Amino acid sequence: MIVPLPQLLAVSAGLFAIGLFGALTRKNAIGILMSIELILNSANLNLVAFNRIWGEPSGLGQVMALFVIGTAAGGAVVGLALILTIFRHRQTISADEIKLLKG
Amino acid sequence: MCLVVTVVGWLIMLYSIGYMGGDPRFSRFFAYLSLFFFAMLTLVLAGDLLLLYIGWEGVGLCSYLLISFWFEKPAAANAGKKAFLTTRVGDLGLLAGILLIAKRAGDLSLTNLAAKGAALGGWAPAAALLIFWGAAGKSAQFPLHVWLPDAMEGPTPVSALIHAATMVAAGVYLVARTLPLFLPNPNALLAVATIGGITSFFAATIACTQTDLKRILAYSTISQLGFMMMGLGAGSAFAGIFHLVTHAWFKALLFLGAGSVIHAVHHQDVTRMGGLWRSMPVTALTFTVAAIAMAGIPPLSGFWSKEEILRRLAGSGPPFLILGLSIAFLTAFYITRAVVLTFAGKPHVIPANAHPHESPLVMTIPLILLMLGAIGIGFIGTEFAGHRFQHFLGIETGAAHQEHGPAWIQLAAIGVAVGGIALAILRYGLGRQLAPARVRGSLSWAYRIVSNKYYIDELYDRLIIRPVLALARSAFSFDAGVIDGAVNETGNAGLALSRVKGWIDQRIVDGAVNAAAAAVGRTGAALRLIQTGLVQNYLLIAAAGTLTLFAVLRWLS
Repeated sequence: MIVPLPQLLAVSAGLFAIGLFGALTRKNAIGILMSIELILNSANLNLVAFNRIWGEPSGLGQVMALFVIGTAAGGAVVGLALILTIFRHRQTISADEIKLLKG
Repeated sequence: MCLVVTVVGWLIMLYSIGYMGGDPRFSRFFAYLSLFFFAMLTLVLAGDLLLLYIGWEGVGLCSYLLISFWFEKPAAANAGKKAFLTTRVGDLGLLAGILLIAKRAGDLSLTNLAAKGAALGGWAPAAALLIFWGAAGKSAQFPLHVWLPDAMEGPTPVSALIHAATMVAAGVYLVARTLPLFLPNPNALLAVATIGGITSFFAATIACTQTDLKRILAYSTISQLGFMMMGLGAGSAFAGIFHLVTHAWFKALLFLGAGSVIHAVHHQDVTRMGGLWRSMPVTALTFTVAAIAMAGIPPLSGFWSKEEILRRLAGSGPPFLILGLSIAFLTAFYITRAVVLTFAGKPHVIPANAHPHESPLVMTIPLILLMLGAIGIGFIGTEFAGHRFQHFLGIETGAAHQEHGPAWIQLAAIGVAVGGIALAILRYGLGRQLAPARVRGSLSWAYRIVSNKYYIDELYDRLIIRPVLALARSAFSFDAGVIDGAVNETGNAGLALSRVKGWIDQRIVDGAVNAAAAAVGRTGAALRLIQTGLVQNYLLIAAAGTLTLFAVLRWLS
């Protein structure tokens, strides 16, 4: 069964909205990281969906999605390492309490 | 002349080792003396006027340095200044004379001076008189003689060397060297003889009244230098130079003897000395021999040279001969007075507990050697020695020296010398008054004038020094009032202008700068508020911004 494009875009938009909402509201830094993963995956969904319509037979969109997944994995690694270090120093990962750059 | 400088100078240096012993600036003294010898020998050996002038200024400088050698004493420092400034007046004349010769004759060498005189033409008398002017400054001739008595503030060996034997004789030497310039001009010769005669006579009278041993000798030196000038003015370089040579010996000896006495009794007042021959036999003997030589008793050296000058003066006319004889008489009188007051009579040295003693060998040996010179040096110019000195001098003497004056001049010279000595012994040795009290009373004004050195120092003070000082003071007040005033007002104007500029700077320029800085600061303070440090706020702003961007793009398209 071929899912039509509008539904795919709707799911993608929903995923993005959930991710943005999570990134803006979660206090836990790990939660924020997870929400960002959602946003990235909504973008991946878009890439794959548009690839099916305009990208055949090159598969450029799918390749792009694979790159995003790889990059996101790297980003998650760096982000988790940062969070771990911050926790060691400040005994917290609450985003409300981490404001060293306050002007 | 060269031999006089080196031999007499050597003896005086030897003497200085004893005299200056223990002085804190001992080595500086000898450095100055050596500099003096360098300059003096340059002067004597110079073959042209320019080099001679360099040596001339060199000895002037050394004279200044050595007179004010004990510069802690204000009198010595002032005497040095006075000597330097007075001789400078003379040096000005010499320099002008040299320049005149250089301009008109184009050649400054001391040979062929007669030809140069011809080349100078009408300027020759002027050049000769300018040179004589310079010589008068250096040789302390009237009216530039005032520095020499004050120069006695220097150490005694210096007085002996510079202010008796060598440097002051440089003027005589200069005139003798340049005599061919004078010879064709009777008026120039007459000026030399007149100035020399006036100087000699009036210095001799002053010497009769002084009580400071060194000042007696100083005026005696002036008098003898004037006597040499008279000899030169009579047209004989030989007579002047011959007397210069003999004078260098006996006057250096007199000064060194005086130094030996001063070294022993620590003051210079002859009225407080007396009877010193017992404690200082060598000094007394040598001093007396030198005095007799200067008085002109044959066969000592002074007689021959003095007689030579008198013989020349006889050729210049009776007034000069009479003047010369009276100078010879006064010379014999004052030097005998000095000898009698210092060495003869009862000892009344003050303070009474002082014990004058003979000076050490290093001082007495030069005295003895100089005494031998003072006795014997005169023979080189006599017929007994075949006029060796005349032949040695060669050209300058000319043929005239062969002629012999009348014999009565020799007799007269001996007569006045013996007369002067006898009168002085009568007056100061035996204590007789020479004239009735009434005559003495009526002549006391003359004595006062003479003993005050004819008030010449005072005259110069009134006529030259005070007007110059007044001029300097008025120039100073002009300076302080007008020029300083202008400068200060310019400064004040600048200050006022600066105040205005400062106000503008502080209020307007600084205000603008501060206002700009304050505006930046306030903007920053406002912008700080959005820098919360919370990562989610940034994200929210980014999201809101993106949405706004989309909305704007949509609205635009």
